[in-house]
Amino acid sequence: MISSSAKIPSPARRIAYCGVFAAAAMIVSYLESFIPVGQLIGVPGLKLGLANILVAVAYFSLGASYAASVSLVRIVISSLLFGSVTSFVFSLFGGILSFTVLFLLGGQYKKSIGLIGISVLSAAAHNTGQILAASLVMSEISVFIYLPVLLIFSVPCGGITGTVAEITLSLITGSRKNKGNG
Amino acid sequence: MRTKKTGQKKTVFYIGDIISVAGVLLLSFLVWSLFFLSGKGDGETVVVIEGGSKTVSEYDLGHDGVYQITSSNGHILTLEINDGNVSVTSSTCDNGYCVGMGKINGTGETIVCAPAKIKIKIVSDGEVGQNDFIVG
Ligand SMILES: [Zn+2]
Repeated sequence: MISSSAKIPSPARRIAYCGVFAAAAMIVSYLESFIPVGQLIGVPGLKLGLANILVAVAYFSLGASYAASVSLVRIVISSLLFGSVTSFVFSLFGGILSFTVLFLLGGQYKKSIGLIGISVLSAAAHNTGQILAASLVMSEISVFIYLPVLLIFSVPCGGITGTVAEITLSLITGSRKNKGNG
Repeated sequence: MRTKKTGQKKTVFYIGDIISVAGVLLLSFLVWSLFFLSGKGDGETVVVIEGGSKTVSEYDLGHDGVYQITSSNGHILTLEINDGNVSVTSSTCDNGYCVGMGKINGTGETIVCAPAKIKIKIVSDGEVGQNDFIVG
């Protein structure tokens, strides 16, 4: 998918990749709706957050603004196609908070934190954002009682997505730097 | 520039990863304790409020039963009252947070479903009907 050219992609290429990432993010979130992880393990509303893999990979391979576009495009189009106004607000809050984590910690990547830590925090932020959205929609703080459970499950979910993102990213950057190695 | 600990491992754990996991678990405990420490009263009635102010139905907390609530926008929630505990056992809403919120049993406690705009609240008998006047 990504060429083995040794150069950093040009802006035009980045925008093209950005579109590919956004499309892939939409596909994985659509596929994810067929794998009701939350229902299977008795934690309603819990998602693996597979789209976050694409956002994180876009962040570290294309840049912050491209990753933000990937996330926003996915949220807007997914909500238009499959969601409601409420689900759009939920996704937007989750997306903004999880992207904030990525933005704040991106500079520390491979210095003091890996994609597992970043993804765990992103997942936690995503869930917090969704609970916050629910509490604002209903003007009711009680929804936060469900947050602790979602936070605990952010750890395995973020661990999985972070690991997949790390592998994907090393394949992309590896193939770019080492001419197809890895 | 990927760091390798041993030959077979590509991914390495950083100190930040461990702090992240510990931080998330600690936050989880703190939020949980806030709710655990908050007091509970003895309510008698379960009211179902839609759209922030409209009471759509009332149930006696002392009577066990399973009820179906249909919201104006078409979501269906199953409300269960069992031994003084109120819970939403199933819901057609997008995220199911209302189911995840579990059981409530004290005055003032609520279960909410944002997609359905439904609020289920335990009130004392004196409070019944008050929500008709309070917006929000
Ligand atoms: Zn619900």
